[in-house]
Amino acid sequence: MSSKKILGALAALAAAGLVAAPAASATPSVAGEAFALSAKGLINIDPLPQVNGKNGYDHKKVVEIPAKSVQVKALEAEAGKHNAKATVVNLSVDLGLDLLKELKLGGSQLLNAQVITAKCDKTGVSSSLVGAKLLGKPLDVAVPANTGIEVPGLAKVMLNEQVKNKNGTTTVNAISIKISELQKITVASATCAAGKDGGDGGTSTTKPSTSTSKPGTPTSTSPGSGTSTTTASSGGNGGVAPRPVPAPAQLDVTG
Amino acid sequence: MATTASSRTVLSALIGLVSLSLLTTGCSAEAPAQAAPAELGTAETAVLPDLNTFGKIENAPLDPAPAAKATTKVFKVTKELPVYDKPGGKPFGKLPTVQVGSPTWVPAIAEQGDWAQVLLPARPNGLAGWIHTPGATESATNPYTVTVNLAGYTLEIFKDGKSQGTHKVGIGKAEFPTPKGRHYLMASIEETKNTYSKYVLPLSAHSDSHETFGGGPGTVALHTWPTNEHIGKSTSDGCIRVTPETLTKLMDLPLGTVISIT
Repeated sequence: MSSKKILGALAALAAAGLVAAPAASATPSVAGEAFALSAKGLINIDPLPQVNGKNGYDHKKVVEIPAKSVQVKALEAEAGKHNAKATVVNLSVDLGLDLLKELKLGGSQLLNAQVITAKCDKTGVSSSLVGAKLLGKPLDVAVPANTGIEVPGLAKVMLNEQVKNKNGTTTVNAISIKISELQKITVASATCAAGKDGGDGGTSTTKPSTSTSKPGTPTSTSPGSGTSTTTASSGGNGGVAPRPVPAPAQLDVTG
Repeated sequence: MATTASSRTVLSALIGLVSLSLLTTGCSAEAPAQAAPAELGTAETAVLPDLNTFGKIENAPLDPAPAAKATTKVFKVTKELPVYDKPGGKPFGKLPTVQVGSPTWVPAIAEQGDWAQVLLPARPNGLAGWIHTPGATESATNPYTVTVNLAGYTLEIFKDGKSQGTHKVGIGKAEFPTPKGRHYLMASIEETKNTYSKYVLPLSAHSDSHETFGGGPGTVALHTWPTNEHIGKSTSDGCIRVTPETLTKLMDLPLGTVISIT
């Protein structure tokens, strides 16, 4: 693609109002919400799958993407009142070698990764990148919040991007890529109302702290702040298994 | 003599060593059963697929005895938990703490020291694995079991092995049969979208003929239907349709209750 064409594409995008806004600018509800992948610009993918826990537990998984330049094995997102998680498996994003060369971004794929995850609950937020390469360069599995990478040329990349929203929620985006005004891509995004201690009748569950904790990021363990689990009682070690309390949720079963 | 005694000593020691070696070798498959697995790193954990109703595990270990009686023990997963192919073996997935909004409970079909072999909610049907229980689970006793006899269109609830009643049900049609095997009650849902049943009890089971269904992963569930005309018939796409009265009884059963379908 020539420079003129890129400029043309840029102008067209700007005119169409497609220039990407930050992912967290949308006003999240107080419940958890998540999506696995979104793209705006030369590649367009509406947040997919998009879930929101305000009306009950929402969990979706898709294995097909409406964009030829993006390959993926699975996109999964789930959200409850107080938790959210997004997972992307075997991702590759290809803007086209010609365009990458034109933008002086090298001649590799823009992004590929084995597993990218973002998650949050009332105890905090985290994200991880396994087997991830940006323009052929390996990325660390876990990095401190808001680790920025300036790619010479036109790209800005934020890893483990954490944004506090106006309504008190926090969004974590595992990777956020912006190539000039041409392309915005967000991979694995989770939003939660984080850090409110005291619990609200949650069970005695405790926050997993081993899987995605990162150096320098506090993973507090707030007592009583369970997940969105609902049981009449926690059961307890050696007790009688409790009668479950139905959880508002949606699942398409086999009728 | 001294030489003989010395030889004997050496011989005894040698025999001892060989015995010990044999003992060690003989126990090598069992010894790790008592040992805690090495803690997995961030990347090692992240690449393990979530064991939920949307998951599918390739080359997975299966329930070794689907017709056998499970233990009465159920485990609640309180912290994201790796699942192994055998005690001390290789991890092949991880159990999250939530399954479609319900807490994760899994039934134990066998135990070995601190390890429990549990049924799992992902595909394929009969998926089973081993969890190391200390620190990441709470255990409880579940006196209930359920059997479903497809040919007889019946569902029977047992408590401590004693029948609590038999109920007529509807099952999957011939081309989309209700899957046989040892499954369990995975979640208890108050449906927020589908209207055919206010409450739905998804099982660990999946349709073998519907890879997906209605956008979902083909999960088989217990639920009602707007009318009872399907009771005693094979008309569903795999789910087990029950009357509202039966569903009320089933909703009392703990998550992790084993549902044996024959």
